[in-house]
Amino acid sequence: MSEINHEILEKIDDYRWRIPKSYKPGMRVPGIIYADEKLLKDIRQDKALEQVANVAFLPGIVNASLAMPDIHWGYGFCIGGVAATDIENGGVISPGGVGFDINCGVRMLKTNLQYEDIKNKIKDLVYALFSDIPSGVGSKGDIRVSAKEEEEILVKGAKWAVEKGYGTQEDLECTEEYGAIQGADPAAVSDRAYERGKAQSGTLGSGNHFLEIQVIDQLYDRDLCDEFGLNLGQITLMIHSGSRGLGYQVCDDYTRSMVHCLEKYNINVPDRQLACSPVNSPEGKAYLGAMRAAANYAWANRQCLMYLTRKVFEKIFVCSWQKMGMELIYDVAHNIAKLEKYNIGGKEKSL
Amino acid sequence: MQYYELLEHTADIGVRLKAKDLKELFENTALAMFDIMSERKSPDPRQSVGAPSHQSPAEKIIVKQDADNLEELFINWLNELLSLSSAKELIFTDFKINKLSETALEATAISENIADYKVNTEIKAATYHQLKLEPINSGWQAEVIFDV
Repeated sequence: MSEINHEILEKIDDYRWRIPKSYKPGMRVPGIIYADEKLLKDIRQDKALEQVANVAFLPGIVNASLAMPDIHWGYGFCIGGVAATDIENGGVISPGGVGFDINCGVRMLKTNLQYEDIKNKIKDLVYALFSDIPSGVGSKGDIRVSAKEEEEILVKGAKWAVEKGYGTQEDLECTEEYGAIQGADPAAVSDRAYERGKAQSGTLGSGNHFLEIQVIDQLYDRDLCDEFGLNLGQITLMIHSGSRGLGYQVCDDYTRSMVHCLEKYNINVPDRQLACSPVNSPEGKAYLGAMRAAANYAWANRQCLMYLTRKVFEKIFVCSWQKMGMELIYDVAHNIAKLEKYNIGGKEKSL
Repeated sequence: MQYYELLEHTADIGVRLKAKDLKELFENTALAMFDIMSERKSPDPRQSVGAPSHQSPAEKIIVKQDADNLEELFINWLNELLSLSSAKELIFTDFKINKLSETALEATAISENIADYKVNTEIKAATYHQLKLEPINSGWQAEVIFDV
């Protein structure tokens, strides 16, 4: 059960709720939760609200500790938690805040197939996907890479995969950051992380990661669907995966080092999983470089997974993926930290 | 008898353990972690006399960890085992803490090939979130949440 006193929640409007700064001494900003009454009922059941308040302790945090409607209990940050810190004002970065699975994300592909076209092939498709796409814990892929290539993946991301023939330029254009965030530092990634990552390129992983064949049964935004070429009954594919063992190791390595930063930089956080360091400190910069490298690994990985998926469909339908219209709609990360510029109180700031 | 209990958590897995002393607590938490992750594929042939042994032999790995305090040591120990298990493709099946202080440990971990195991749950890491490590009347108790 939640520890937070729910009476403390202030209603801003039908879809926003505030945890005032006065809730806990040490909060630098209020918490704001985006949810309606119905969602809030579930949210109150676990400890996610307490975590929103904890994130408000981070030095340099701007305006509010935010939680999106998918908010639920995680570790450190709640799942669905978002925070921006002001770099010039001692703003911090927290590996535990980004999470162990750096650049965990999803990509969605469309097809020009209808449910009717595949309904008799579903069994074959599922068997082929299971056999051709390595999944499960510690799964290893057929796409094996040398240490030198791995370093290249960490810099080039999905572009590495496209150069290898596992996709097209158009795929990159439909990927966040074109599949490679700039500023990755492969040297900031430990040998152990390399070791964990080497065998796992092109593998899905386990837990809540998945590859799904989906059918569109409802259109919420007609205009947007027209734009993307999506219609009722159409088959789409969703791939959910991240940076695998390489990312977990980067998070573990830097959480270890940043636990020491709490004392070094005189930072007070109520949960050590929020261990952090100023973005401009040597520790913060090293983590940012390593995190970007892990993020690029994840984009390369999802590109490889999409390639393997296209191959499976080609095998089952004896038709090229281009003819089946298996184009990437978009790939987006949901566990990541980025430097972006925003106008805060009339001043442009790097957050 | 189950030596650990699962704690309620929305997205992850938490465990609570009791042990007679700190060494046993460190050993049993590691055991619980690998018990949640994996199960042996077939009955252990060493337990039935005369059965042919086809599995790869167990290997001993010495694990050393340092930290600033006991809680960090505990988390570092668990995460080091997860990291070794994934990098070297092993499942750990037994642990013996040889030396333990507030800030350092040395342990022997017995590992087997991951191919002999069915892995059910991937544990990404042990976290500090809501971590408890405390003395109780009969020894020590720990609560830890794993990211799965």
